[in-house]
Amino acid sequence: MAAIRARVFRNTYRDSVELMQIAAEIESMDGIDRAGLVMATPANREVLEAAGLLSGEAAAAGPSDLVVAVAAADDEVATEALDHAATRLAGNGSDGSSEATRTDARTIAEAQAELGTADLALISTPGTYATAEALKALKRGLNVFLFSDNVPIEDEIELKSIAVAKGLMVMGPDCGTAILDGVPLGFANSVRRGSIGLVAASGTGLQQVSCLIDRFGAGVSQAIGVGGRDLDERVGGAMMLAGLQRLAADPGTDLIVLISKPPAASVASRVLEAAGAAGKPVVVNFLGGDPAAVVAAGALPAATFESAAAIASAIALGQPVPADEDLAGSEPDDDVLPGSSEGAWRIRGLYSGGSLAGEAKLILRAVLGPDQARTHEILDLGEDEYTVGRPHPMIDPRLRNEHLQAVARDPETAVILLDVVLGYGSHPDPAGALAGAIDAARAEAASQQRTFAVVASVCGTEGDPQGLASQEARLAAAGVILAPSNARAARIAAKIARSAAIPVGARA
Amino acid sequence: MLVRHASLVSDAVQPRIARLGPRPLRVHSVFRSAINVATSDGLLTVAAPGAGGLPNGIAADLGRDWRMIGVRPGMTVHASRTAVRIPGARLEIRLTAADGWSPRIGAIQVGAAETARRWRRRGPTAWTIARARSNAGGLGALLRQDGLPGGQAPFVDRARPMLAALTAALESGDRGSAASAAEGLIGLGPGLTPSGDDALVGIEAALHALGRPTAGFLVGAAHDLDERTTAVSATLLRHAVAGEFAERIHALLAALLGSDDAAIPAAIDRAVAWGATSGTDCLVGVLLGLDVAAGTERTAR
Repeated sequence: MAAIRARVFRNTYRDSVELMQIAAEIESMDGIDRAGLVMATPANREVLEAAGLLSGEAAAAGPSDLVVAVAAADDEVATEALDHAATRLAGNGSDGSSEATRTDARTIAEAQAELGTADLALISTPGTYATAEALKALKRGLNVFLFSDNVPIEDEIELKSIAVAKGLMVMGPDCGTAILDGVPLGFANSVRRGSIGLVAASGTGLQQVSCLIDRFGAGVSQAIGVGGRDLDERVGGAMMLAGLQRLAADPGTDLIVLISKPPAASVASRVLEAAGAAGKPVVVNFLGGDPAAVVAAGALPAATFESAAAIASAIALGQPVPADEDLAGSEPDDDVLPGSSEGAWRIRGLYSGGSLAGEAKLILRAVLGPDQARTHEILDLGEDEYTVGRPHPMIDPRLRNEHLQAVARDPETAVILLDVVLGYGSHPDPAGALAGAIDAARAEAASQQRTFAVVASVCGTEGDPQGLASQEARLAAAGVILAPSNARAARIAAKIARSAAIPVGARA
Repeated sequence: MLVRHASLVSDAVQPRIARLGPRPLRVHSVFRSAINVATSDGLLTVAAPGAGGLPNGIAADLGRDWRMIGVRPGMTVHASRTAVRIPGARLEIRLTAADGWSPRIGAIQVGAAETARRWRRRGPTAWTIARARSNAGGLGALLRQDGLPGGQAPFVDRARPMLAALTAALESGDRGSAASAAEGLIGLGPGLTPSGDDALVGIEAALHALGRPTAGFLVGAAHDLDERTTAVSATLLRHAVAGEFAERIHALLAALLGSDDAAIPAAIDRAVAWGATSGTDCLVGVLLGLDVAAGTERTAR
C-alpha cells in the first residue's frame, strides 16, 4: 500500500534551481510514485491536498516553509526520500562540485606549519577574499594556484608583480586547471607523464592539448595554467614568461608548448622573444594568431590545439614533425557524413569548454569563410550569462541538455556539435547524461520525419575517472559521430553543413 | 570591515530606505549570489550584477558564493542612504558610487497603435519560438502541450482555467473580474517565486508597456500577500502593481515590441534562462499579456 509522507522545513529558502534539482532527484528514486517540493503557500497546499500529498504537519505550514511530500511504495522508501531531501537541504546547498577535502588547518599559516614542505597554496575562496589570501601565501613563500574568479585585474597585476619579484608563480585568477609534478589541480585530466611542458592561458585548451599528447603516446612534464587574462597588455604575460623560464630550466622538460588566444602585440613580441631564447623547441599555439611572427621568432606555430599536441608529440617521440597546414587541411572522409533533412542546414554548437568553443568558431570561419560561418551558432554554455544561478555545464549536464532539446526541435538544425570534457572535477558520466538527451531528441525529430547529425569529441584519457573508451562507446551507441579532437569534430560539422542546401536569405 | 561598492541601485530602493528610518533590519535569506533583507515593507535584495536591475534591488559583486562570506539569516542589517552594513559579517556595501536605475515600465506614448499592430503580426512567431525554446517545468507546459513528468502537472491543470478566465476578463476590460481570476494564481506552483506569481508579473508588465487601462488590475488581488505567497514573490508582486519590474523583463518587452524581428529568439532564450522555471513562467505571462493588450485573436494553444 502506498505511503504518503510529508516533511516541513521551516523558514527554508533555497533558489528555484536547487529546489528543482532536489525534486528531480527524489522523483527518480526507485519506489517513488509522486513527489512535490514547494513553498507551502495556501494555493500550493490546496494542490498538494488535491493530489493526496498533504499529510500531517504539512497542512499547518505557511508560505515561508518548504514542504517536501512524497507518495511512495512503502514507508521505508518514503522515509529514505525525505531523509535525502533533508540531507540536501541541511548543507550550505551543494552544486555537485564541492568535493573539497577538509583539513583541520584554518589558515594558510597553520597549514604550512602542519605540512612543513608545502610550496603551493590552492585558493578558491570567493573572489572578494582571494587577493588577501593570495598575498598571505606569497608572503610565506608559497606559489599560488588561484581558482577564484571575480578578482579585479588591478589585484592580478599586483599579485603577479610580487610573485615575479619573489620568483614565485601565481596561476590564475580564474585558473581552471594545472598538472604540477603529476598532481592534477582543478579540472585536470589523468595524463601520462613525459617530457612536454605546457603553459596555457586557456583552461579547456590546456586540457585538450594534454589529453591529445596522451592519446598520441607522449607525456607531460608540467602543465601550468596562468589564467585567461595573463596575456592582456596590462598583465603583460607575466606568468607565461615565468612559466616558460621555469620549463626552460627544468631538466624534466625537453620541449615547451604555449597556449593562448592571440595576445596583445607588445606581449606577443615579449613572449616570442623569450620562446626564441628558451634553448628548447617551443610550439606556439596562439589560437587564430599570425604564424609568420612565430616562425620569425624561431618557434613552431600550431593553428589548433590538436596540431599543437601533434607537433609536440612528434618531437618528443622522435618522429617526423607534421606541418601545421597539413593538420589544418585534413578533411574527413565523405563516408562518415550522414544526410540531413530537407531545410536543415545549420550547425548548432553547444559547448561546455570556452576555449573549445573558440576553436570551433575559428575552424568554421577557416573552412566555410567568415560570411557562411556567421550563419551558424556556437554557444559557450560555461559563460556567465548561462550559468547565473546554475552549476557549470562541465559539472551538471542539465543546462546543455535543455539547449540540446531546443535546437533539436528547430527544423533548420543539421548538425549538433558538442564537446565532452572528462577529468577530475567534471561530471561522473557526461556521455551517459548526453546520450539520454540525444536519444529523446532524435525520437522526437523522427516522429516529424526529421533527422540531424550529432558530432562530438571527448576530451579525456583512459586514466580519467570516467574512462575515455567507455565514454566514447556510450556516445557511439547513441549514434554520435566521434572525432578524436575538437578541431576535427568542427571540420566534420562544417563538411556536413556545406553539403546541406542553404535556404536563400538565411541569416543567423 | 570588507567594503564593496554597489554598481546599481533601483530608484525604488532609496525612498524605501528613507521611509524605514534608522531601525535595524534583518537578513532574511542568503543565496549563492543574492542576499535578501527583511523590512516592514517587503524585501530588499542585494544581488550579483549578473541578475541585472531588480525593482527592490541593489547590484554588487560579493564573490563567487555568497553563502560562504559569513552572512547568516537573522543577522542585523543597517541600511542608510549611503550604505548597507551587516556588522556580524563585517560587510559594508556602499551605495554612493552606484548608478541609479528606474524599474518603471511606462506606457509607450508615441506609436502605441503601431506597436500593437506589430505585435499582432509577430505574436504567433514569438509564441512558436517560445514553445521551442522554453523549458518544460512550471507553466512551460502550457506552451508545450506535450505532457509533463509527474510532480508539476497538477499545478498546471489548476493554472490553465484561471489564466483563461483572467485573459478573458482583461480582454473585456473588467478589472474586478480580472482581480478575482488572479486570486487563485497567487502562490501557485513550484519555486521560490511560485509560477502563478511570475506569470502575473509578466501580464502586468505587458499591460503597463502597452498602456492598457487594465494595467495595475492586480491591486485588487494583492491583499494579504504575506500570508499567500513567499516573501520574495510578495515583494515582486507589489512592485508589479506599481508598474515596477526587473530589468530582464524590460529587455524582453523591448525586444518583443521593438522594430527588429531578428532580436526575438535571443531575447526569448535569455528570458527562459532565468532561474529554474521563473523565466518561462514570466514569459508565458508576458506573451498572454501582450496578446490581450494588443487585441490579438488567440487561438487554442
